[in-house]
Amino acid sequence: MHMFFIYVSVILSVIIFIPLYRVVTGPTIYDRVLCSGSIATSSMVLILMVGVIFNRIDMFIDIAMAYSCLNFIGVIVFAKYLGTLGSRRKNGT
Amino acid sequence: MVLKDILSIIFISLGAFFMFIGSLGLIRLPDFYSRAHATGKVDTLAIILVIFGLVIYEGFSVNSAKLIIIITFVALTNPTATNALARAAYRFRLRPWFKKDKSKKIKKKMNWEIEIVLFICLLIAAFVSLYVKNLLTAVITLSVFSFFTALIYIAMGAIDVGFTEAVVGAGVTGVLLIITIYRTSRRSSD
Repeated sequence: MHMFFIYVSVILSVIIFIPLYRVVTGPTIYDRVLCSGSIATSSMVLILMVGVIFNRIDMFIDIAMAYSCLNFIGVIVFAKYLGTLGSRRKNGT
Repeated sequence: MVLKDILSIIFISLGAFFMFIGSLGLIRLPDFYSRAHATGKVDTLAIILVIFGLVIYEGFSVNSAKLIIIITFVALTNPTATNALARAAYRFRLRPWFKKDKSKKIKKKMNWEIEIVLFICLLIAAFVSLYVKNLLTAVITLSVFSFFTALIYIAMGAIDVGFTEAVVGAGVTGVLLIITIYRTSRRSSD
């Protein structure tokens, strides 16, 4: 069971590698924000896996919770900023 | 092997599979609006499955209650954030994709240890955030960089340091830089 969690976390860290391609070569800024959010959510799961491996999941859960909150706040701030940019552009200024 | 372990293995494997599908969708799908489906639906399902497997593994305790709270939070916030982003893109009049063929090949690297993969990601994010021209892209890659730094700290076992790095580097600095970009005027347009 312990080895299973180690394998899953290795697979997850490879999976985190994949959206980085889109962060680097994303055609628009929205793709980059989207993929950074995806990386953050995947890394939250990776934190939980590491917590299970270390047998200290009670400590890691709080960190994962804060991580997901931070990710949410970051994406919302980006969306807000880009949305005001869009409304500014609509008014022609 | 108890039934509990088998069930949690099934759920976590399904979740990892869906996470892989979601990441693949982020690369393969043609435009932003369709990529939003990949992260808004598939990733949410994957996280719910993985954490549910962990809940089964943990059994009936305080930790599994917290994990269920995380499930609820992710199920609420992940589609909300994606929706907010797609709405901003629609307001900005980003054009949807229409049919036109282009195919890209992706290379996958298979490494045997977590830290090496994370370290490569870290280096790539660092160089991208140094050499990119667009300011917003630089901010995003910087926050990705500090996410990876925090993950490396956590994978090495220093969870409190990783937690501080995640809070300061990814959260506060990113928000601060975005507010700075928003308040100051820019000469280039993206």
